[in-house]
Amino acid sequence: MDNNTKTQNTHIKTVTGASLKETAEKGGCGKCRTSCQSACKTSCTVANQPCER
Amino acid sequence: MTGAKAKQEHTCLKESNLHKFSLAGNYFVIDPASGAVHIADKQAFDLLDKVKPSFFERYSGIDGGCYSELYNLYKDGLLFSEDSRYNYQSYAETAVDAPLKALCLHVSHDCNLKCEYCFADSFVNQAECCGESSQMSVETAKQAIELLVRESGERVVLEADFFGGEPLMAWETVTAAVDYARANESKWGKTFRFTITTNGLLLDDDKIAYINEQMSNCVLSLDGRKSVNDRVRPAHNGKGSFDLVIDKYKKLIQSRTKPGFTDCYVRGTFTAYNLDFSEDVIELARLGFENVSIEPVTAAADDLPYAIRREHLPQIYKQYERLFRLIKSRRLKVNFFHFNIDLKGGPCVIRRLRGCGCGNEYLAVAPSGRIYPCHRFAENDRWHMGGVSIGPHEIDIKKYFAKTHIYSKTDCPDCWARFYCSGGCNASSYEVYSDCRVTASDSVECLMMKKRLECAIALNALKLK
Ligand code: SF4
Ligand code: SF4
Ligand code: SF4
Repeated sequence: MDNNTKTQNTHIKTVTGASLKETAEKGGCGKCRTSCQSACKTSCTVANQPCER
Repeated sequence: MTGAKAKQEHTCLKESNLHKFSLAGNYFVIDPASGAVHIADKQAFDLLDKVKPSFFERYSGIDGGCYSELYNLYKDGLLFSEDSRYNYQSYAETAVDAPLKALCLHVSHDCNLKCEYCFADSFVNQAECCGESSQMSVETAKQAIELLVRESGERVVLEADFFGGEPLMAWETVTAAVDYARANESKWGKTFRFTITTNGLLLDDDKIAYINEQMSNCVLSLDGRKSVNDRVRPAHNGKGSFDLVIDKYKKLIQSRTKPGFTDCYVRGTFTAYNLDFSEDVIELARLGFENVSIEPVTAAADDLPYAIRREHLPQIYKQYERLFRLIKSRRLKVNFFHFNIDLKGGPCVIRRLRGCGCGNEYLAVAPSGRIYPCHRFAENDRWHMGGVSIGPHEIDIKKYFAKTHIYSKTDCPDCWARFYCSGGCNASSYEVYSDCRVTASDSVECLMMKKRLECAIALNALKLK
């Protein structure tokens, strides 16, 4: 459906669909790196970490 | 009823289930719960102020019209989604304390700089007053590595980062810990990833070679323009540190070629003194640094002269927007850390429920061997979790952090940024509100976070368009 909306819509284009909800079932393995969002480290939001699964 | 409230009730445009913003003539719409990101035209963008989910339940609109496009997205679960639809909260509620995967080793609480804004100034360079050694012994560092292995359960890849103070002041401890871990990793069935964060003063050819061989990530502190850096990052003689480190940083980065060991960031801090900090990002890029992070200072009190205050926000927003425009048009070729976001992939939602994992998957060890939830809780007795040889034994603290997630924080459940930000920094909440679970989505910290996220999302959405 994403692709349809992306190609057919003229007023609103979906650049990424339900990317998050799809991760719920298979996630949580804990293999990814930790991240810190305080400025005293190279802070980053979790969202800019890669999944390492 | 206030106008704003009336508007909200009329449109049901709750920030938590729809966020829209415009940037540089583009209109972005985010559905936080599903993770969907859309680029709209002005008509659809404005129409979203007027519709609400109950409309879509009753009326599908005329095929091909703007309303019907929104209707289809709603029906596909890509607009106005609720977290409850996906049961995310149940993952949070069943969260239990997890095996350890990362350890921050404060190998030195001494530092050879006197940065005005140092977050650790309550314990850095304070050895004389607390009467304890400010350097971690080799023995303690080895015990810290054993702690990491012992508490890591089935986890194979373990992270250890060398922090301070200035870790190069305890170089012998750093190399002893790394060598000990490397010598035993296959026996233990673990793989270590090391990171070091340094101010660079003590770098020399041997240390550069060792770091580039052993540390999979390296963070080099520098605040950008020489004048900016030298004002807030003086050495003990009061002179600025820029000239003392710049050539060493260049050398380190140029020789950082070992596969898997190339990550390296130059990181700086902006303060009230350089609210034009986009110039510092530009300067770092001009100096040849490709990976750059410039972040807002964390000040212990608002009235400190370098602290970022609410009245600075408009200027800060303009800086992020300027960086967005420069990077988007490729006039500035730099990997600005805060604008990295993978809209299609990135971490799973379970990972995003809890940001850093402090106190649970991530711990810090002070030079004495005492364990704390993270580097910012170091030397705070309230959060002392035990010692490297036997700990952590304050299991209640570990459990507390396992249950500290976006749904147990005050403002995060209703914040559009919750799955990007993951609930902010526990230590910062504790410092400001004496409670790790209190967040304020209109605080200066959160507002800056959300602005950065908007720029990051916009930049990456336009790339995918
Ligand atoms: S590695 Fe991927 S799936 Fe596993 S916890 Fe991290 S983000 Fe989730
Ligand atoms: S910490 Fe602030 S910006 Fe982050 S999710 Fe919570 S309220 Fe939102
Ligand atoms: S509590 Fe804050 S400072 Fe500590 S690891 Fe988490 S984000 Fe970083």
